[in-house]
Amino acid sequence: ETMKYSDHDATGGMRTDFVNDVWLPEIEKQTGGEIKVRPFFGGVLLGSKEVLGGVGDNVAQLGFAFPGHYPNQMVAHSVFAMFPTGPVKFENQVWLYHQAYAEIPELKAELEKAGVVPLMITAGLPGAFFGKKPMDGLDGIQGDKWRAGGKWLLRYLESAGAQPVSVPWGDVYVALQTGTIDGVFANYDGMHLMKFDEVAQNILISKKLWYATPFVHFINKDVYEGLSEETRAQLHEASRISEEKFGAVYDAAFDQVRSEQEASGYTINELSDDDIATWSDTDKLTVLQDAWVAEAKEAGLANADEVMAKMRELHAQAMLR
Amino acid sequence: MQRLVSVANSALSAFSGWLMLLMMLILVADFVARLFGFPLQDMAQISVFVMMIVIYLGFSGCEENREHVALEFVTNALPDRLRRKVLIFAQCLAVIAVAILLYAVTVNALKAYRTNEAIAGAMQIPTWPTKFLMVLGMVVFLLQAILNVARPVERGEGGGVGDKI
Amino acid sequence: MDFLTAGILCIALLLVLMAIGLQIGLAFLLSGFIVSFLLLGFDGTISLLGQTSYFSIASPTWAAIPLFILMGAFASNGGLARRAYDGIHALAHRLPGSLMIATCFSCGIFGAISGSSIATSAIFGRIALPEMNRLGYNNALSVGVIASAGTFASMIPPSMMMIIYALFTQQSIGKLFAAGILPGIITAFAYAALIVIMVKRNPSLAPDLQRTAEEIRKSRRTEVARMWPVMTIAFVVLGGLYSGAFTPTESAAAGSLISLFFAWYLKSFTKLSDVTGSMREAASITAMLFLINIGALFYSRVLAVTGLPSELTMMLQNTALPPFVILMGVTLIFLLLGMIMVPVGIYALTLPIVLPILTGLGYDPIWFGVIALKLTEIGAITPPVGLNVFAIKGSIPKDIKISVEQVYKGCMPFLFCDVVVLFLLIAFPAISLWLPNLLLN
Ligand code: NA
Ligand code: NA
Repeated sequence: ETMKYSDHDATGGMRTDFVNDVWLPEIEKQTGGEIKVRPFFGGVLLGSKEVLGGVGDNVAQLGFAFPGHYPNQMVAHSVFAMFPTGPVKFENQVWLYHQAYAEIPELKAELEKAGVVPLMITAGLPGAFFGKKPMDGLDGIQGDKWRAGGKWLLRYLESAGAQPVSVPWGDVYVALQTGTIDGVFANYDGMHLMKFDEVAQNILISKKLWYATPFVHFINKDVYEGLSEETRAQLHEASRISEEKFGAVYDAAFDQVRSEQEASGYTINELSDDDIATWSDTDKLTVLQDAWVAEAKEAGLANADEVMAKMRELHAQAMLR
Repeated sequence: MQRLVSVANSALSAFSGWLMLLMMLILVADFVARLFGFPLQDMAQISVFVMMIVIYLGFSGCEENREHVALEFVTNALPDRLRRKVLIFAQCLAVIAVAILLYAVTVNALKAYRTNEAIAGAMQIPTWPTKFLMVLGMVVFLLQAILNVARPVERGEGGGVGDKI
Repeated sequence: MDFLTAGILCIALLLVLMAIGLQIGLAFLLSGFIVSFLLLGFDGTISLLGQTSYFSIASPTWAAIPLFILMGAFASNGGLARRAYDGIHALAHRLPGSLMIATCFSCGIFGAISGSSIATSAIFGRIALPEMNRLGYNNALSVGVIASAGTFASMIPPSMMMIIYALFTQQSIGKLFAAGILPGIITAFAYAALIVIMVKRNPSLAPDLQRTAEEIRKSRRTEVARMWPVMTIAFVVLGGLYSGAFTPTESAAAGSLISLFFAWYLKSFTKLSDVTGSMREAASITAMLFLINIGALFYSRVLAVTGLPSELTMMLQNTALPPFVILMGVTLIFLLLGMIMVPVGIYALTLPIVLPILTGLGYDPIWFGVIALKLTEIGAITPPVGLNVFAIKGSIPKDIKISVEQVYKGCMPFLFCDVVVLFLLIAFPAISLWLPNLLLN
């Protein structure tokens, strides 16, 4: 059977290349060619806000979604974003994700409601600051106009002293070029792929600023249930094998982006421990986490406080690994 | 019936016109506030909602005034009676196409309402109010498309900004 | 159904539906729906269509188009366009076809503000065509200039399509922006030269009005002086964009507001109905244009599902043909797809296959960015699906009788000119690469 895989990003990125070169071939291999996959990259079939619904409705059978694009449909998934620092190694991040999926039933429930079954989890590279002005630490963003990927990251920027702005992503490159905004904070690989570093060459990074929200790769529920026990097991096995390989891809991608930036002559500074403490300031964070609970309840996640409590516990465990 | 739909078209068109102005003001407010150091959030996203409403509420008026662009060189080459028949057939297909789009937009709007679909941003703005207005625009569009079956386009009538505006 | 059958059915249906006079946007929707129904089933198709009807255009990048149309309506109805064209006419009446040439260069300047070729065609269709018509210029050629020069918005930075090319190929946006400048300017001069030649050979295309040189000289000073509001608008919008005061999307809003202000200040708008009339007109053009966009985007997705475009492109893989022949093959595929498909769809489906082949043969990816852009922009004015052509047809006043076919005809000379420029760009990569290498290496 030939299935369609839909991804809104183009090939050439860390995740898309991984899906194209590792995961999809592994699925064909594990299922002995019973499942063949025809990928549609670059949003040519479904856009970033359409994949969840599109796979749920069987337009494509396999897909990838960033939960941040579905604020009310993947409320529980937004809990990860409430932890600005996280495990440095992908292995420990993915441990946390699987633990969370096992112990917080709301995560799988909202996927099931959307008609999809999760197969594999990947992640973006850690969050990074790309600024126009020279900066050697978090002080450098004070009072300046910064764009971030997502509502909670905008709030972190605000807490750290920047003026959060929501210039549309399509305008960010030119906005950085002309000085409409001073910088942008998002995942390291994504921003490098979008060439923001060409026009904001002062970069602050730390592997501790994980990009929290998982990238979920899933299959249509009815299609999944129509498969034999054996094929399902093979699908999961292919996904598990791939996930294990992603750790190395994650590290290599980080080093590659960094070395490409160094070769281009951009300034790269590591965030100090003090800066990281400021970024994830516990007092401010508690306020934001409480705000998340209130908003998540309003969006229909009745036991948001329990979800948050459980996540705090799991996050602490993951950090100790 | 046409009179009723015309009244609706005229009202929708006037409303859409004001929405255009609103769209402009939202984006002007955005950069003015940012220049003064009080950046507003999600203004561009809000202007997109307004744009979607402008678009869908405008379809019907365009249909009434024959402003939806179509090719004419093949049909214009036909003798009058045959041309008329072909155009009536084409307009029947138009009715089918509009009905399909109306159905798809309605299904999508209902799903957006059921799942409380929202656009990610500093705020979470639900999409369903916009999508229901899109459905409304499509309903009037369908009525107008049906009415147009009975009056095929005159030679050279189609396209362009009409005098009625 | 195999890809070839599905793909050909998809294209044939579109052509037949368009030929019998079905509205273009609806022809896209219906042909896309039928083929999608065969490939994805009813529910899948309805889901895809429902999502496309909203999300394919619900992004701020599209929001500039309605606002530029609004700006065009204010500028045209508010007498600003008239002032601009009277001024240019007074200044340059000795140059054959001066208004067309001025339109051509104005599109170039507007291209430095707008990143969308459709928006540029729509706004100039609204502003420039009635003025050229009033001054006795040939309509078909006038719209041809506008549709063709509208493509400068993509070639001259900022450019949405350049950014998309960069995303699909991991190339530098800065270099692509720089690479487009010279080809954009060269195309503008090539068009200008073409206009001069055509008008010299056939003066009735751009008649000198009944006024004598003496009359024009007398009124020249006042007519040129009356251009100040237009100059101010250009200065404010360009200045605001490049100083960082606003983003490209916001520049469209700023342009509309300031045009409205001048229309009121210069007393062209005296009643509220003058303003609301322009607003209604802009809303109506927007709706017309986006029915086509929604249809074209849905249709592109369905064509992607058939697999025809990617299969066609993959034929170039693993062939032992000489590099230049492969390049010509790529050019041909882009031209063919450009006839029926939107540029974004062409990029998404072909670039991942084509670019590794070309770079493997030693071609420069930045240079090919310019070539690919030129090819897809040529697609915007080639029949049967020319988005710029539709944009103009829908935005010109009804009393100017001109059919879609006449617009295509008017584009033909410029199309040939584009092909010549294309071959220049292919033959001399330095035209594209000199500036980026100078600025960014
Ligand atoms: Na441009
Ligand atoms: Na074309």
